[in-house]
Amino acid sequence: MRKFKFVVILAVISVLTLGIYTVFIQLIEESDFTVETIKGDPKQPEVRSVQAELYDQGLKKMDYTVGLDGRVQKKTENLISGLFENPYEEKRAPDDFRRFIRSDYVTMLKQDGISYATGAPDNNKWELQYWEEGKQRVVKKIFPAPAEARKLGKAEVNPYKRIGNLLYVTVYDLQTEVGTELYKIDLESGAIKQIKLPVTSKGKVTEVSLVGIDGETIAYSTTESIDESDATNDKLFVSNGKTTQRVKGLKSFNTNQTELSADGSKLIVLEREMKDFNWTVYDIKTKQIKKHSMDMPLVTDDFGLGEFTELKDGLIYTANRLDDGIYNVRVIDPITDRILYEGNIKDKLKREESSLNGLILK
Amino acid sequence: MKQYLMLTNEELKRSWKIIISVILAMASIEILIIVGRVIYHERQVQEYMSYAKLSETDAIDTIGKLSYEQASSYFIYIILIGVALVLLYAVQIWYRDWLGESKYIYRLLLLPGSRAKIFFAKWTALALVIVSFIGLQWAVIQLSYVIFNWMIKDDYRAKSSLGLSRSLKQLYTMNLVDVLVIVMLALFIVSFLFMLVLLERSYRKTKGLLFVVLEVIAIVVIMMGGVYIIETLDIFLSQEISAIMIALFVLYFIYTIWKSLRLLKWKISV
Repeated sequence: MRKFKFVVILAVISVLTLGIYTVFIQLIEESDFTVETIKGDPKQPEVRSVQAELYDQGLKKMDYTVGLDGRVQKKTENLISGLFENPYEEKRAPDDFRRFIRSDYVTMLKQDGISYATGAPDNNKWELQYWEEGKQRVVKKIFPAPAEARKLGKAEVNPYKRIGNLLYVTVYDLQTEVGTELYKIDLESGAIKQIKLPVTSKGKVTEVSLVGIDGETIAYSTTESIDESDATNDKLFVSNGKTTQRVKGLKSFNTNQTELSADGSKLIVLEREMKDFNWTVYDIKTKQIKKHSMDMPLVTDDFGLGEFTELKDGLIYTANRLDDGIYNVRVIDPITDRILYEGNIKDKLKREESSLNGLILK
Repeated sequence: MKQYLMLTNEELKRSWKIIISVILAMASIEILIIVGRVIYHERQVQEYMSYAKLSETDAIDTIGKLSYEQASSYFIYIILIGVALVLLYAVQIWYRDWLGESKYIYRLLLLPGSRAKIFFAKWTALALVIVSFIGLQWAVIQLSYVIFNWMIKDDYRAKSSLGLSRSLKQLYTMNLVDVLVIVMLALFIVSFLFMLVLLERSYRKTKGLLFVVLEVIAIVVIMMGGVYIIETLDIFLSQEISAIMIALFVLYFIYTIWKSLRLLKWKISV
């Protein structure tokens, strides 16, 4: 043993110190999240699939996904597993579909558990593939590009929404960076039809953004550049296929926070500035505007990092960090002004290192 | 096996004083940094109190509290010096055998049996130094944290739990797989340096240096070419690219060891 004295000393030091490190890792406290329901049923359809994504930024990095029914999933990454994780790739989908969605010209939409991917490899044809995880199948379709779309410099085809057998896609010209065209693809017959958006404007319209579609009702916004300045003029329109009306009387609106209600009869415009939580409901038929507001629990993070708000499928989903590692989650029906669900996600250890990344709304 | 262990022991014995000196120097500097930061912070608060005629609480509110994370933020520079010294040691462990007055390498090369044990003895010595370095550094972090908590007044301390600076978190990710990956990367660099040294020693001066340059160019070309081909083909998923990169790394790691053993066996002569 004496002959190998130096080897033994360094081997013992290595084992001992790395042993201390291992024990230390084992002793690091991990958050223990529970969900306390204040109002509503966490199993109701609008709430069932909602999950809060929480990150632990402490010594041991850990990602938590907390379902509102109390189910908690923990995930930790190492240098090797990090190389094989890509949240933007459909991990369970067949390789062909995964290769297709990583193409430069392909854009995606996830709706009701189906991943739609569309793209135009050239101006003469459109490709559509969608992966239905429930049925474990990929549907592939290639369509000749509609005549109007062939006139564009370089078309980007974005799947927007599926209603019944119709997939609505918006087409944007990457070359001129002007305008957006709307088309509907009949997934059964393969027919593609353009939906004309009557954009009437005196100024130069630089962008048309869809806000919502429900049957014949289409809500969209236009952005006009004001001559020789960086300022823009945003306008909101609702079309029923025959007539188009401009929505007036709104203080301001953000396309990402504006939606049609579930029945398509109203337009919801959400405004959130930290603790000011307001929304406006515009009745398309009567043109009446109704303003709503709600007191939100205190957000402790002054930078707004502890806050998440999203308008989806006619409902408002919001999560806010309170004191002591508590996250308040609410699902609000903006039309009836009713809280469908409210719950508090609590960390039993009240750890300060956890932070809210957002809500996962499937 | 016994001869290999004895050779490893001999390698460590020959560098023992310098290894211990470096470890002690690094630990001392790091502990002094912690002590210095605590004293400096306290003095800053006291000076601000007398200058602005404020209470201690108000002065701390203005200057801010000190966390261990801030106090240990310079540790990474000490660790980088340590890494540089380990790299130097990887080169010196070979050259000292040639450049010393006694020409120790002749004795090594004339030992009966395979020359591979000479290579692996040096390689193991480096592996032990690297793992001890990572482990001891962690022990120093723990010790300096105890000293930090003991020295600093409660009102001056930002938070009670142990926090590491962003750069230290890259090394100590609280994941044992990452420790293994870091050790493997370090050993790959050691093997690469060993191969370059043996290449240089295998040929006459200029020719040796030329082969070293060619070997470095080859690895750069392989890496850049690989990335270019993968990007041009554009057919691989990100997971497949990761798998290809890891496979290339493992293959090149094996190649460096294989090439070193071949050079030692066929090219280096007494």
